[in-house]
Amino acid sequence: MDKSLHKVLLGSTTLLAIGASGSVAQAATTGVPINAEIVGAIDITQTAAMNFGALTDSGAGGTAVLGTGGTITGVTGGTTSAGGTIQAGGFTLKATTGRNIDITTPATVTIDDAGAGAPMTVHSFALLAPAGGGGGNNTGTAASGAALVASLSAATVTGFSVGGTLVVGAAQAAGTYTGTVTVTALYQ
Amino acid sequence: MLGTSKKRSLVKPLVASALVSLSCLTSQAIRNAIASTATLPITVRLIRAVEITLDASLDFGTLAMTTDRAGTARMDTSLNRLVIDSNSSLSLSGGTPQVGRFIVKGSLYPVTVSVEETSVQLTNGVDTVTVNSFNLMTGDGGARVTVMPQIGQNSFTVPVGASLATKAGQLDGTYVGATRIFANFQ
Repeated sequence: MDKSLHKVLLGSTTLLAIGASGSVAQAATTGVPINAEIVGAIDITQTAAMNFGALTDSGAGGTAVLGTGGTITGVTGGTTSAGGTIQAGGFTLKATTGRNIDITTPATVTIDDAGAGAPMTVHSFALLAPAGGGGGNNTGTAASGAALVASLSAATVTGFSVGGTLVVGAAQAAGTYTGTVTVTALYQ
Repeated sequence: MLGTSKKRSLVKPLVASALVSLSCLTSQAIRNAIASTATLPITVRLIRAVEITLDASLDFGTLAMTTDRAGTARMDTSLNRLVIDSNSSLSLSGGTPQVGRFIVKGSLYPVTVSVEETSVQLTNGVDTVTVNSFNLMTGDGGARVTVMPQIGQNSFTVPVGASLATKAGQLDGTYVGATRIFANFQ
């Protein structure tokens, strides 16, 4: 009887051992990599308004080009520059350094004199980045606007400038015309 | 003396043989007296070993952060996209956010899949960012699920999502980390 019991117990032990080793073989593991890139939010701040200064027109209409350097670089038609305060638009960009940032403008905007005269169009915006912002420049077109890729060498870089082309209509009414252009900056 | 010694050595084997024979007879007699048989069933369940392989890493993409306040971004496995809280701290600004995915191969038995850690610290070498609230399969699946493979299906994909929590003053950088996933037959 003792021997019989001993054999049965041995058998049970063997079965348990097989069961235990079977459970180990039925487990599997893998590692899942987790990634995230965190960058500083882009902060774009206007430092100067675009100003075409004073213009005169013969009544035939024409164009005036405001360069990113802050001067009227060309006029056409009956439009001429008459001085005044002329300046390119300016802004400061704050972002993570070393990352490409797309800066864009709309294709066109309109400016008006509070409804007294017909609005005028500003198009072909131009963007210039200072050396610390990548140094690039691009003059856009009336169809697509300007696009520039900047990359900051410091967390905050000042000296970005914006130019554009103003279209003066024939028999454009005299007045002070104002409007806004939105400059957008996004990481690539 | 020599003659006596040989006799003793001859006698000993004979005695031993006699004892062995007696023992066998005795054992045979006992066995005959209590003989019985039993049928022991033998069963075995052969199952394919569980295999688990990585299909895609869990990626939160590029998040732009306003550094003065904390924020949370969640990779939702149900929506299969990044969901950002309304704290106006974080915004998606690039990269390719994606739910993590791994493939479990086994047989037609329930498999329990679990995430090793409830909270993982990603690091950029200087700072850390916390990833927690892991969810398997669905957006609220939790960090441990049991999956019953469908008939004819010997593998299935398990999506894994989680939440990333930034803190005020979080440093820029590429943060990396990992967690382990376990798969076991029930």
